[in-house]
Formats: sequence, C-alpha cells, structure tokens
Amino acid sequence: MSTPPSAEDLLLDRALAGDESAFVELVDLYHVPLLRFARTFVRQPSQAEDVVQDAWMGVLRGLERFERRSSFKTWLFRIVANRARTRAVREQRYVQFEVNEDGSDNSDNFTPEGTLKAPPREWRMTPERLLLSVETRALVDAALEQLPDNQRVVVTLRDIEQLDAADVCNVLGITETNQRVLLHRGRTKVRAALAAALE
Amino acid sequence: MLTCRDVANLTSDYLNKDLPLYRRLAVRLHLLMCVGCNRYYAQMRSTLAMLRKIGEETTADSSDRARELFRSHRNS
Repeated sequence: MSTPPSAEDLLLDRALAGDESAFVELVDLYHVPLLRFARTFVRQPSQAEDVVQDAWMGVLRGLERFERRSSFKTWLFRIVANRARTRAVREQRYVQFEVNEDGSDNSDNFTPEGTLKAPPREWRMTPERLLLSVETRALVDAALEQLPDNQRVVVTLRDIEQLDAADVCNVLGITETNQRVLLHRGRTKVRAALAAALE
Repeated sequence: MLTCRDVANLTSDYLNKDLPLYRRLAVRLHLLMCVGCNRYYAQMRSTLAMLRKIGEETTADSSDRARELFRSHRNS
C-alpha cells in the first residue's frame, strides 16, 4: 500500500487502539449528518435518534471487522440505512427504490418540438442572497419534505452529504440508473418548489 | 442540436460532470445560445449550492453521549 493513511484512517486506528477521544471525534464529525439521513426514512425525530445511537453501537461492535474497502463514511451511512429501513418497515413505511414514470419531466414547459415555451422567470434574490437567507433555508426544507421518500433519500446523500454516485448505490443497494433518475427528479422538484416561492 | 427538453433532462448529469465530452459540449453550446435554459441551469446550480450548504451545518452536541457509549462498550 503506497497511499498514505487519511486523517480518517488515523482516527480509526486510534479508536481501535482504545482511544476514546478518537471515537468522540468520529461521532462529532458524523452524528448530525447521520441524523439528517435517518430522518429521511423515519419521520419521528426521537426514532431517528434511536436509529443513529443504535448504529453507533453497531459501529463499535463492527469496527474491528471493518475492512476499509469502502470509506468509513459510506460504511456508516450503510449501517444507518439498513437500521432505518428496518425501523421504517416496522412503522409500515417502505421506501421503494424501483423507478417508474412519475410524470416529473416538466412536459408542460415545452412545445411538442421540445423548445421551452417561455424562459423560467427570474428569482427575486441573487445567488449570494439565496445562500444566506433564513427564508430560503426554510423553503429548501419544505421542498425536501414534499419529495417522495426515495427521491429525498438520494438527494440528501448526493447533494447534502456529497457522497458520490457509486457510494450512494452502495449505501442503498440500488442501481446506477435508478440513482441517476431519482436524483434528477428530486433536484428538478426542489428547483420547481423554490421557483414557485421565489419568482 | 439538442432541444431545450433534452437539455433539461441532461442538466442533472451535466452538473455532476457525468456526461461524455461530446454531450457535455453540446449542452454547453445550447446554454450559450438559449436564455431560458441558461436561466434554468443557473437556478439549478443555486439549488444545489443551497443543498450543499445544509450539509455544512454541523453542531457537535454529541460528545458526552459518545464518551458514554464508548465506555459502556469497552466495559461490556
């Protein structure tokens, strides 16, 4: 192995050697993202909290067997995904990742030849303001909330947590094609929801 | 030439830099010529920037619980 160990590898090594502060650093790094992710499956905050706590226990138990073929982050998200899905099933909610037509291709916006009928209207905030405004932060939350579960899960992993496509497929056990379609549809809907409020 | 509909369908992949060179340039060319698609693309880019920003919000209030978990595991 010629690649030097990453900062994360070093943290893992220290945690494995029994260094409590290294484990705390890992939890600090990932607890909030994992909670955010768990909430995309189980809606009740207390349930999501349970799932993530439980996942951290799983991490402690499984750490010695973690082979580092995927990144630690991917491994973590997969543990949470599996536990959250089991929990969601118990709540009679099931997140379906198979893709079918959902009519979200904005066909109304185009002529039969595929040309935009009219340009989208401009938003009333500059890109810089969009990022700083408390109002738009709430709009994004509301837009995510309205997405179908499968699209929200994929958008959360790709665009909020910045996992790459292969990692998302790995975490959720879905195909590359489904991942792409769900991401495209989810993003399209988030933009449309923002547009409705910002035009 | 790509249509506006084609470009709307490719925007997500374009933003991921997931398109082969030829496609990528064809989208780019369309965006240079079409005000509407260009605006759509800019709004999509803003949307992704807002989502990415959510991911940067982390508050570390978990340390105590983490310590507890770690200790209880080591003692078990």
